[in-house]
Amino acid sequence: MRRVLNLAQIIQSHALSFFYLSSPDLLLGMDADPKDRNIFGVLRTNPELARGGIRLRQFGQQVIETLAGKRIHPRWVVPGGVNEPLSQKNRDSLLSALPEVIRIANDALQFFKNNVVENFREEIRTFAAFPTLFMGLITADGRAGYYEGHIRFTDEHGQIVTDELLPAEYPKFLGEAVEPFTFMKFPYYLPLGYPDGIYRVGPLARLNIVDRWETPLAKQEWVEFRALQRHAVLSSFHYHYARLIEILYCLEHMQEFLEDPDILNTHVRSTASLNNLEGVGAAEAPRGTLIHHYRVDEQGLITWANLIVATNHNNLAMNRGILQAAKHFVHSDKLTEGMLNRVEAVIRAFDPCLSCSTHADGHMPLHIQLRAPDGRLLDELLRPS
Amino acid sequence: MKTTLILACGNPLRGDDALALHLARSLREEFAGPEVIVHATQQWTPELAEPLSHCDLAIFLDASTRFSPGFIHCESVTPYAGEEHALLTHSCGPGLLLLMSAKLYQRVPQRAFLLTVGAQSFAFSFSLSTPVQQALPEALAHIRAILSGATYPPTIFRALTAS
Repeated sequence: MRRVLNLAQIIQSHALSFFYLSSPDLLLGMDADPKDRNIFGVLRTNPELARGGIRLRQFGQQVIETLAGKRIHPRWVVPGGVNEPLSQKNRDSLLSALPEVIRIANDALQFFKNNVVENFREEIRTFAAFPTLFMGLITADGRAGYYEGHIRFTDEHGQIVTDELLPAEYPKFLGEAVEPFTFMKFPYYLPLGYPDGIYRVGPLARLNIVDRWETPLAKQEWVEFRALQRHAVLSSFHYHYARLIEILYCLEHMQEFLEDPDILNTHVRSTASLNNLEGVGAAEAPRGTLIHHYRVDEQGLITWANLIVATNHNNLAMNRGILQAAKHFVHSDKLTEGMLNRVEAVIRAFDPCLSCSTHADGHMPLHIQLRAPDGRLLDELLRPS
Repeated sequence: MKTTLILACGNPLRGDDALALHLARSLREEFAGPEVIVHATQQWTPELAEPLSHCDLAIFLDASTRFSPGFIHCESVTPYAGEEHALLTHSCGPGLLLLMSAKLYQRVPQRAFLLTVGAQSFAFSFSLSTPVQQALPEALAHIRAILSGATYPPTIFRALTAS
């Protein structure tokens, strides 16, 4: 049941990222007037897509609410299991909704392949499209390990760099650099040093590192996705594409879990108590690998913590991606809205926790300066908070 | 069958911010049945536009920083008429939800109201402040009145405590 909850979270988070935050760019164009570049603009252009996105997010949240009681910070997940079993009535209700949402997810994916990819060739080539490593959790038989597994790194050729790493031993293979201009840390693959140890996590990485995919529709889409490039898919623009495939996968996989009679098993919790003073947990969150490391005292109270979240893992790649997009799209001595939006859109492709602040109603405080090679200020855009 | 959707918004960990959740709990006990659906969430998000399009009456419940603690304010709400790009993606207000309901599903509730109660504290706490606790029965009375057909203009109509 915790796996189903994890799948539901990925569905609703991906739906938010793609349909609410990014589809206005993809449907209306990067240069469209910001007044139109929103969910209402999507509604005018493609009402089915807008309604479908809302329905997918609603479904993800409905599953979370059905299982856990509430959508945000539910108290249903507890050490040793969950608080309450799933009733047959609730299971049947979720199952009955799945064919509709699978169809919506599939339609959105086909729409993306048929209408978006061809129109954004330039962005695909320049939105953080460069060789890096890819990291993620993987199961023993080479599938994406959303909920458990070991850590695998692959390279731009799709080759395994290192495999079967234990998340608990992350300090042996991950370094955490800091820079004076930001509070965000810059994790890197330790053997390659900083910043050469740049890597990416999340949907794009997950689709790049796995050996196989398992559910019928998503498997077919994964094969097609991997054929985009000869080796690994390197453009971060394709985080969008990967996200849509993952929505489909999560829905199909959820159906498999819900059709398993064992999902109604009433033995849902083992008694657990303090048995260790230090622990590391890892899972695949929607945006990428999440590593939580805690030390506790004899009473179980946290005395020390270290978190590496997806947005951290992708930090080096996001910064380098902005540079790549700016070099490509900023040609003259004047900044335009389209240029600015593309810089933001690179960030949105990664769907970091910063997504909303780079898109939500244009209120993000943003200051971009365009300087000549000799340092002269040519132009600047200031967007007040 | 006429249906009512009550949308309560609040954070149970932040003191008076949870007042709408307390109201929702009482309303659920009082109006259990398909005609009155009570929905309590930490945020109002765009997905709520869909259930809004199916109901005849919508009542939004929230805590407010605009009024003194315990001060009850009720107003009728209509679809937002300002710039559409003001839409937030993680949360949005009643007017924007009604606008989304109209544009996405071509239907809005015949009547919609926002009832807010002035909060005293949003500090970490599971309990409500005294003025807010005292205001809840009166707030429930107004909700019952709305359910019985009462209509309120967009004006302040009742002050329980002086600022």
